[in-house]
Amino acid sequence: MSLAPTFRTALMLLVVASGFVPAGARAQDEEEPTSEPQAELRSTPLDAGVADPGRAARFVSGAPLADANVAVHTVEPKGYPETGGLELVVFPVAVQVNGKFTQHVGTMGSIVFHLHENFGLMLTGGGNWYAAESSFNQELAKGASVVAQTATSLLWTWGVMGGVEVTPIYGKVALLEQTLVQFDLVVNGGAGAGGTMHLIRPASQRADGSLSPATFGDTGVKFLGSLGAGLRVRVGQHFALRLEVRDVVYTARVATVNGCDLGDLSAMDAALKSGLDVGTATVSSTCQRARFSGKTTAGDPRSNDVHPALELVGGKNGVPSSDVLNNVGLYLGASFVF
Amino acid sequence: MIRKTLQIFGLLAALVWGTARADESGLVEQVAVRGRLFQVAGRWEVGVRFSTSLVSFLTDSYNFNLSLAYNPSEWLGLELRGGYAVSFNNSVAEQSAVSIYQLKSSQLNELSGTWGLGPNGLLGVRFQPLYGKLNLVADLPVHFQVYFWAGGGLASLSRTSPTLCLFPNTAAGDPRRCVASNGNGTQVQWANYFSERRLSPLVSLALGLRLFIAEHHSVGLEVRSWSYSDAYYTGVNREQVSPTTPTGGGRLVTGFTHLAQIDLGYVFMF
Repeated sequence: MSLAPTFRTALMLLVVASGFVPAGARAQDEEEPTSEPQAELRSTPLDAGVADPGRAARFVSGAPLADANVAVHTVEPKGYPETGGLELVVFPVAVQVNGKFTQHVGTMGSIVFHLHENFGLMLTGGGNWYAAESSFNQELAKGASVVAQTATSLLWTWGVMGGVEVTPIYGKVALLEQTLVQFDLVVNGGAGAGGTMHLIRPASQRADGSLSPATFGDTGVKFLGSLGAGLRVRVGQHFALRLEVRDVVYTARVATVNGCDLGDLSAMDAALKSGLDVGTATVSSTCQRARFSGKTTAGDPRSNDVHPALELVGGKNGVPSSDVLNNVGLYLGASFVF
Repeated sequence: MIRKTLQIFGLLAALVWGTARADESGLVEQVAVRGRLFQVAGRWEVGVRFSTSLVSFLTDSYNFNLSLAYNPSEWLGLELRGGYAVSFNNSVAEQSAVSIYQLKSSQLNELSGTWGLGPNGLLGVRFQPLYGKLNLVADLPVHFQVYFWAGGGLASLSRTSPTLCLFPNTAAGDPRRCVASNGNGTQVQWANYFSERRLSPLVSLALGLRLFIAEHHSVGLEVRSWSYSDAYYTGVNREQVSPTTPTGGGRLVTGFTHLAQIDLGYVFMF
């Protein structure tokens, strides 16, 4: 047998198959309702003459969505399965975007165990390495002699939260019509605890012209709640980039500074006014009196903080101020998926 | 005959396997988002928008806008916006005014950032490189575009100073008194404070997302910043402030005010 018929047959098959390849590709892709014939398909059941109508394919937007035996994805299936995976997330920069009276910038991290393709358990922790009153609050204090109440300007220092993360939406985008980017919309929530502090004395100039740094007092551990949403863009099998907005809600009631309550601070203030050392005052066991005695590393007497701290916890008429604060932050980070 | 049939089946099997491999290797996927359902190139758009401040400091602003846009290409759009913003001093400004009124000092420094937006117009470029779709629920595709907007324009700005009370030495009960006390506490009479209005150039940047809901309709959400010039007075002699010398000999300080707003809009595409 000569080779010519075989080549001719192969050539014919290649021509036929070359028509099939894109057709096959189209069959896997989603169909868009762009033309009238597809509109007809939408309204025309194709189960006529099929023995089991329950198993028949009915086209919706050009795809057999009604057939339980046909797996159809609006967007192609994810390239990498998530179930059972562990994801380590690092947010080097988490910056507060609703800073009216306070401003925070920190570093956060999360561990997500993907129990299911769209559901995971999450543990989040981290700290704010910059936490200060905003320039707006300082301007109000300087120009108008008004400041936010103590609870409203409470600063968040660290936090640990446990919660869940869901990825209900999966999509893709074309960057300038050439590059495909696949992403998940992530929604997460959690609860936990975190540390807080408050400015006691702002930075000021000493009589000799040198700068006396600001002092802060520990205002205790508070309950934290978190709700967030964002995008996770998968880059290869093991890496992903994350951009999230998280709202950390914390209860703020400033009743103690460095563990000392109104009574403790009043006793220390009275001792100072009598010319005595704070060590002579009788305080409760939780009060860290050492943080109000001696000198700071900058050489300032710590006893200078007693009266401002008393004003912080005293609030109006001796009632500590309270508030519920929302720290809305923009979290930029990356994750490694095992 | 049998050998020929086997050859044909062998060739078909190889082609099918090759096609499957091509799909598995992601070659089909690499054509990015196929079948753009919503093309914008060459189309005109008109829109209506509403925006409100994300974080308000001394003023609250609500902005109503109409827009006209043209898309020279899929990834670039030109947009003209005209709008009217309602701005007013908020409760923080009111508390500041009360506190400043009660200060004993004879020299005052005004607070920055008291100017609010009024009527405004913008011309900008919309860079819209991202087109995507997502499966909102299993069988509902949602097409969207992400864009970056940059432009500039002109706005009428106005302010009522919480510091410059035009009638500083009025007796209780005088209608010209800036802070009145009544049964409900203190109340700021803004009409008795120094107000001014001026035109200012402004720069606006935005990051937006718009969802295509039908061939001619889309809805959008954007975060927009407005930057415009600030001007206020420091070293104001309180006793010299009056309707004829409202700035009390103070020194003019200039700067910039940044306003961040969240904007919701509807666009009709021709």
